[in-house]
Amino acid sequence: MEYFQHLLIMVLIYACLTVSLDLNIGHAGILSFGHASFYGIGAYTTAILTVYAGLDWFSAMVLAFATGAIIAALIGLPTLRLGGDYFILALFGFSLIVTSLIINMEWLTNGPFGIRGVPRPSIGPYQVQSGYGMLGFIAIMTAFIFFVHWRFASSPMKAALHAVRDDESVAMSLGINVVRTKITVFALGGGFAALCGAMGAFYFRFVSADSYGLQTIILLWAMLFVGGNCSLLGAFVGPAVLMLFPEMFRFIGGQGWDIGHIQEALYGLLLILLMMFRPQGLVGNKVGLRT
Amino acid sequence: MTAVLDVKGISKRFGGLAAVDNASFTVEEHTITSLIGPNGAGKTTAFNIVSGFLKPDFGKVTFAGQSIEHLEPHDIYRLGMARTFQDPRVFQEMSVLDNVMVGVRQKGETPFWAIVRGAEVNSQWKAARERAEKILESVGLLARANEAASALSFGEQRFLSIARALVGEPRIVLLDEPTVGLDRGTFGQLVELMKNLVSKERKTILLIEHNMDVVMSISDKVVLMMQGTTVASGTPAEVRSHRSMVEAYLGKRHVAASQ
Repeated sequence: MEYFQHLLIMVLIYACLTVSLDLNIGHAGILSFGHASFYGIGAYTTAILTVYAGLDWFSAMVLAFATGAIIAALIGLPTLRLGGDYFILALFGFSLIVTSLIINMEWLTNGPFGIRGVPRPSIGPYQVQSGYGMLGFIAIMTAFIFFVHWRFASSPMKAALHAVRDDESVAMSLGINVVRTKITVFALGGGFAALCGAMGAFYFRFVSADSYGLQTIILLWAMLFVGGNCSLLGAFVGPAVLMLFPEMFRFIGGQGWDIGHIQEALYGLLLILLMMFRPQGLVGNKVGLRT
Repeated sequence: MTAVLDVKGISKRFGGLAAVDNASFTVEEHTITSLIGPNGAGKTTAFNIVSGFLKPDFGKVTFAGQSIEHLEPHDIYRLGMARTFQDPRVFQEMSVLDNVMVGVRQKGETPFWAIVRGAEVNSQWKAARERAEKILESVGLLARANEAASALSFGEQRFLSIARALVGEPRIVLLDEPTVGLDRGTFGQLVELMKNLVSKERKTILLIEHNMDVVMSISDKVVLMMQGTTVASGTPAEVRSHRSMVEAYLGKRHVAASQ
């Protein structure tokens, strides 16, 4: 059972990351390559505040959100003016810097060893334990994050974001403050990614730099495009498919390294086939990627 | 009649080229003013300066008593000036109705109020939808409100872009060559729409137009631009007989011949 609980928790955390990435990429057309870094910033903020500063879990989560949002706003301020591909490169650079800072600021982050012993959240006398308690905690957080994103996508905010995504000049000509809209949305994306980092820190009770690098960014993009843009359901489907698909091979049997390679090859094949035959994703609402 | 828009001595250089060079004109309230002139005369650049998309190197733009040449396009829209572009530039993936509703600024589009909602947010949103539907009806697109904008023909997309510019109830609308590419039927429909906007809705229109029949029949005032500067301004009849006008459209020989 614990194995399935673990899988479910992982799918939920990645679903939250994907839905907040979708707010940036799908709805606002901001091709964020920094999402995994904000995820890491949230995880480290939570670990530092709870383990070193002894802060309670709730304040740590709120501050993680705020830290992610503020850093995203500060990064977005100069870079969001760049065109699509230059913006991707700038954020790629940002994510390299974040990883390198985490490894080198040993006084704060404990360097390559990471930070251990993040406490479990507790409500009054009740302390969330591993297993069902943790699953419940992650599920409540997921419900909250999805509720917020559902509100965004079912309000006048959606039309304004899509206008900015599709034609910035026309959006401006209709009274939309394009720069402010983009910075706000990018900051929200950073904030929610950081909140996911807090969720992960509470679950793993351990943070380390290698979880928030290039591999994670590519995985998140893949999840978003497998599930499909501008879709709450897609943000579940993408992570579910990409997390559970490789797990299935565990039960097929086989020994040693070869099964791992077959797994990766099939994984790649799945992505290629999807992009060829269903560019809008499995349940997405938008065709392909625009820059 | 008071001038709702007053453009004074604006200039804009792109590198060595003076796209607009000391151009001045006024637009009176509840009238149609047409900006005419040969290609490259600086009409669209002047439009972009007035609507805030370009900052002039020199000159002043006053709208409803307020100096606006330093403002951003979104601020100018909120003061009551809307514009269209030469191409319809509708949001292809959005529905026809959503396209129009984008033009309504409201509280519910900020993240906080999108989450919290409340009566004011909801009633604003409902009012926006009703206004959008009313405007779609006036341009004959209400029946297609729920279709994707990409399903509309070019002419219909042009009308949609005008509806989108009107939904925020602007005082003045800047239309950049709205009749280009329209067939005879829709052409007449658009001319009627523009006339009605001024006579019934009490709007003010600033128009860039190449079709001289349209210009001469619906304009209260015509401004002629050549090589970046405004060279003549007056009633259609006055400008038609102006020396520069003959020169611009028929060539210098005709000026000599007509004297």
